[in-house]
Amino acid sequence: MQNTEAYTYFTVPDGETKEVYSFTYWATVKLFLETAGPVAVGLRQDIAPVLSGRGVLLPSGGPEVVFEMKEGNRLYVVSGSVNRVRLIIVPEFLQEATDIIDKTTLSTVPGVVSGFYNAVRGLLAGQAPVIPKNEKPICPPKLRPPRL
Amino acid sequence: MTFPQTSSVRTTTGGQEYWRLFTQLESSGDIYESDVGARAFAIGPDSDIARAQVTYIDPQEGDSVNTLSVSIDSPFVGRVDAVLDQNYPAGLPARLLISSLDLVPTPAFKAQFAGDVDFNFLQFPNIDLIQYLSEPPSFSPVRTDRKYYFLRTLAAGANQTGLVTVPYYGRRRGEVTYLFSGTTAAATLYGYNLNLIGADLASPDDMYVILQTNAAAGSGSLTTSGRPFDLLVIEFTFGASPYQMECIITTSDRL
Repeated sequence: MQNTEAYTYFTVPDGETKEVYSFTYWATVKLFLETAGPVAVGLRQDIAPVLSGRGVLLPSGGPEVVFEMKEGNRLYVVSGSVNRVRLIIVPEFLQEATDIIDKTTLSTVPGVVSGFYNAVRGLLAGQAPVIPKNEKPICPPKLRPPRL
Repeated sequence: MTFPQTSSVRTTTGGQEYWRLFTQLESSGDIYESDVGARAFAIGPDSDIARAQVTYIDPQEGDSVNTLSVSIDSPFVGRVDAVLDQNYPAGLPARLLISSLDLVPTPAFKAQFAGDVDFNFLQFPNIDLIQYLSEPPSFSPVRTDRKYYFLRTLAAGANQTGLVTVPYYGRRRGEVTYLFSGTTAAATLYGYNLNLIGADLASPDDMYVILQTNAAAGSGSLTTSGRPFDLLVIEFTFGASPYQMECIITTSDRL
């Protein structure tokens, strides 16, 4: 499980796109430019030159620029001068878990739910419901507050 | 000139909010560099000069160069980029170049009085320029008062003449207090404007103005009249033995 990371990134004034972080997990990235800039960031490798518009210019002195990064994304930065960029990376476990469910479990959920439903009803999948004679249909029990 | 100069990069990586260029100037051609973009420029409190110039590459003009000036009453607020991945037309990286807009007295300034005076003290001016790396606070631009002490100044013999020159650069008030140990002496206060072709006190022209003269005074004070000059020049004429003088010069931006 990843921890939150926070550090300061100093830009290299050569005008070339640099990879700041390669994400192996879902995360929220918060970028804050503490100096004058200009500094551009983006998710593509070809955001140079800094004022080309291919990346996003960080506003000097805030507000923070926030990216939602998924697994496999990479964060790039480019600048023509020396700058300080505050970088905070917060792992997003819920999104990652949702992503895992999306990829694996969620596809089986409809079958699981219907199987569960059928088990409760005592029916086999694909058969029409049969209500026994002289019996009322099965109803869910009344909701009661738990006993404390 | 401080060499190597202070590093704007170290200031940036060190987490400061501004970079300060504070050094003594030795000529009007002294140029300093900054690798970091700026959010504002202002004259610092310990500056002697009143105006500084920043040269930068102008993205609006392609690869051409532009300049901006900063003075005591007119700081510049706005982003100025250092673009090290581009070059000036001369081929050097497009750093921010900082120089003095005010002229600076050089050794040649002293040399022009060589035949007229017996001793010559020249105080070189300081440049104090603050480059803000982030949003600047509100400005209250004013230079601090400067005080120069020339104590136990000795002449080699009787009736010699000497000059003491200090930076003034548009300050509003200057005062010279002096005391001779001899019985007969005189002092004259000049306001001097530097120019690019030089001037000579022996041939008066509009480059300098006599502000006040105390003839044959063993002690006293001289004051400016609020007029702007680049330098204050005090000419002392020593009297009889023992040829000793004490002098305190104060300059201020306040009346």
